[in-house]
Amino acid sequence: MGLQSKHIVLDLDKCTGCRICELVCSFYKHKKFSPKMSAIRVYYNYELYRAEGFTVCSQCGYCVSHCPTGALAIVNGIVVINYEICSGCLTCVKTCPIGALITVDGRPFKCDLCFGNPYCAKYCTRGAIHVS
Amino acid sequence: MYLKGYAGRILYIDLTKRKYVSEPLREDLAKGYLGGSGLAAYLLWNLVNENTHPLSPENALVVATGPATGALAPSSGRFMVASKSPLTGVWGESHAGGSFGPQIKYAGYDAIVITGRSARPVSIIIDDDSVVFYDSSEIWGTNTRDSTNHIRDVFGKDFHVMTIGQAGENLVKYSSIMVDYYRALGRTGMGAVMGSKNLKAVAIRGSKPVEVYDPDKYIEIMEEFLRENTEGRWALPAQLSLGKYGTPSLVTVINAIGRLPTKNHWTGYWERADRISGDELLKYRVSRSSCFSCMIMCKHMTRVDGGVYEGSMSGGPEYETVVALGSNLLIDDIEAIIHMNMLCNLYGLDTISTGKVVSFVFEIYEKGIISDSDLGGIKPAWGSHEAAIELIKMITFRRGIGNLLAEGVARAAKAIGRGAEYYALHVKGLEVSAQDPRAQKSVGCTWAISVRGADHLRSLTTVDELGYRDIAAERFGLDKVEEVCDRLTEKYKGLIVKDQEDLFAVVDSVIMCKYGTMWPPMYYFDFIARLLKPLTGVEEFGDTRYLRLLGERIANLKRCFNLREGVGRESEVLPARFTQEPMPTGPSKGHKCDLEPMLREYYENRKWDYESGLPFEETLEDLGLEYVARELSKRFKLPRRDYGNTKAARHP
Repeated sequence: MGLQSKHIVLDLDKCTGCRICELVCSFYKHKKFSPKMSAIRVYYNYELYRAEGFTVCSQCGYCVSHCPTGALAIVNGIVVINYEICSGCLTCVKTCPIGALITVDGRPFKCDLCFGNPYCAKYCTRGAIHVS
Repeated sequence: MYLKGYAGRILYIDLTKRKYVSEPLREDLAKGYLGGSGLAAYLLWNLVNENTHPLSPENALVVATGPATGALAPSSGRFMVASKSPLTGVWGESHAGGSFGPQIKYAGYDAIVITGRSARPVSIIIDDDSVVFYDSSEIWGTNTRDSTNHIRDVFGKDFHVMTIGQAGENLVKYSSIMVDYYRALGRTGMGAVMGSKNLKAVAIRGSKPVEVYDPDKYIEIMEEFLRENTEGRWALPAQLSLGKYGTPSLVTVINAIGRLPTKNHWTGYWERADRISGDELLKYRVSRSSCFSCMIMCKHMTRVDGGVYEGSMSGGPEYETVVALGSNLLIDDIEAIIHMNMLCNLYGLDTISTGKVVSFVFEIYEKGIISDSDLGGIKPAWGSHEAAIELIKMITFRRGIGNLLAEGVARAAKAIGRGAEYYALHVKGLEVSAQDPRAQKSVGCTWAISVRGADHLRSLTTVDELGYRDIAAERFGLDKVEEVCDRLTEKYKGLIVKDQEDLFAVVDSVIMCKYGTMWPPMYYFDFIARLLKPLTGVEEFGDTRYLRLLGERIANLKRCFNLREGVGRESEVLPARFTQEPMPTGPSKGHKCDLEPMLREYYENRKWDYESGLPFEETLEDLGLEYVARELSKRFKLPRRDYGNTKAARHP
């Protein structure tokens, strides 16, 4: 299941650290600009001008099996949160093996690939972000 | 606070008492001065006066962001610092890119005002609402890389750091502040202001969001921004020049029009320019980077492998550095330029001023004004990078003649005398930047009227330099196109410089980059108006006429700041080299710069009185600067234009 799923990949060699992906994500999802509210996060080394890593949901589904209320589900290979059921217990945030889920305004938040057309990839003019 | 886009608070830090307080950003200040440079101008006008010594505890260092900072506006990752400059004694400001600026906003502040003087070396660590004074005796005396690393090791890698090096500590008058290793707040000696306050570094990180007034409308603007940068008219030219080479791509272009400062600005053309060109530099590039929220991505890092300067590595060098430390000194060894750029960055020296000080030494030595006995063993011959490197070290640590040179080229020339002043190329005490008024006449006006001295970033125009006829027609009218687009005529240059100064006053306050507004000339008042209204929710910002008024208000306020210091029209002169010596070689051969007609035209358009060099009282009244007029009229008799009517009658 996990290996076949689609997810966002960042090409570290192409990334220049502009963080437009983070801004676009937070804005399209929360109507605010904050890299702390983004589902994708880039770790950029300002001394060597090199992206050293990134965090974004790999859609592995691990959180789905741990959600006590059943608010998480896999739809077309994408893990989505049903906020109507979500109790805000944040178990998913705690159990995510790669720390991809974050808390925004007391609720869990994760990458849902903008349902097929991720804005972060659209705005990456270097073409460093794509769906794999 | 209902204004969106702004963080809404100003942080005041007093280093003497080690106290800080944050106050709400007054709504009328945001509306009346935008932010960034405009806000800093208002704050500094009130915080300092003509009796404030630039290196005294009373001088204030204002660190400011604008409404667009951190909000995905085009190339908006920048921030600025302003203070009374120790180099010129008048208005000093400097801008830097990178990712530091947005963090100020995310920490919840539009501006940070630092006053006082710490008894011991200190750094300020800002993490959202918490402000910590961190004893920095341990890192005092280290270079900018080591101190940045130290702060990030102690407090966390996600802190962004601006710091001074040894030059700032030693109060070199043109020392810079280095931001996140390689971004420089270079000009006007802001590093020395930090040094005088015993402030080694400021580190910041933030976690608060920036909100937008009308997100749906704002999305449209962002889509347009994306389109402009991927398929717009300027997308490909920008990527093929700035994107591919960074700013050094200019070297070849500028040399081709005979404007490349060579041999202490003796001429504007250098046959060996191809040895320091963007293509040459590309061979040393190890990575490419960008500022926060920028799609142009012009920043590069270079490294030298092998040779004498093996291991030299730094961000840049940028165009200004390549010229100041390259063609300007007749140094064609690109590896030496990379090395000197690294040294300046590590010590915290402004590369432009440093290069012009070194070329000044080279020339007065050649002319026999100083001799070997003054120099302590250095042989300053044109093209000698060994001598240049030694001078950079002597300036930083104020050794030998370096102690005098650290005061800037104007003071040094005055102290040396014997005709050295002729070779000191500066306006108001600020060393000239890498343009030449003989090959582009508008540069003469830009340098002369610039509030911080001979500097290109307050009003450099590109319509005349590159002859963008359609843009010239759009902005200044069809009838003026011929003259506006001719870089070698003085006509209408006062007009376009004034227009550009107003635009840059707004751009520096919003804050956006000069790339996108200067070149490529993508964004003008109309775009900024469309951007600001949905961002902030301020109705007036959507009106281009109001933005122009703001530009004029900010430009006037800064000019009046200098006037209060007693620095007015008599300081608006060019070094004789540009007005007396015809260009000796190259495509612009034979040209001189005739400043006076441009200045007259500028004063006319600025609505200032050319004869007295003072603003008309009505000009200040119309711009809402009555308080400035009141204070200036204590010292000067402000002229009145005899309109014979009141403000209300002038603006029905």
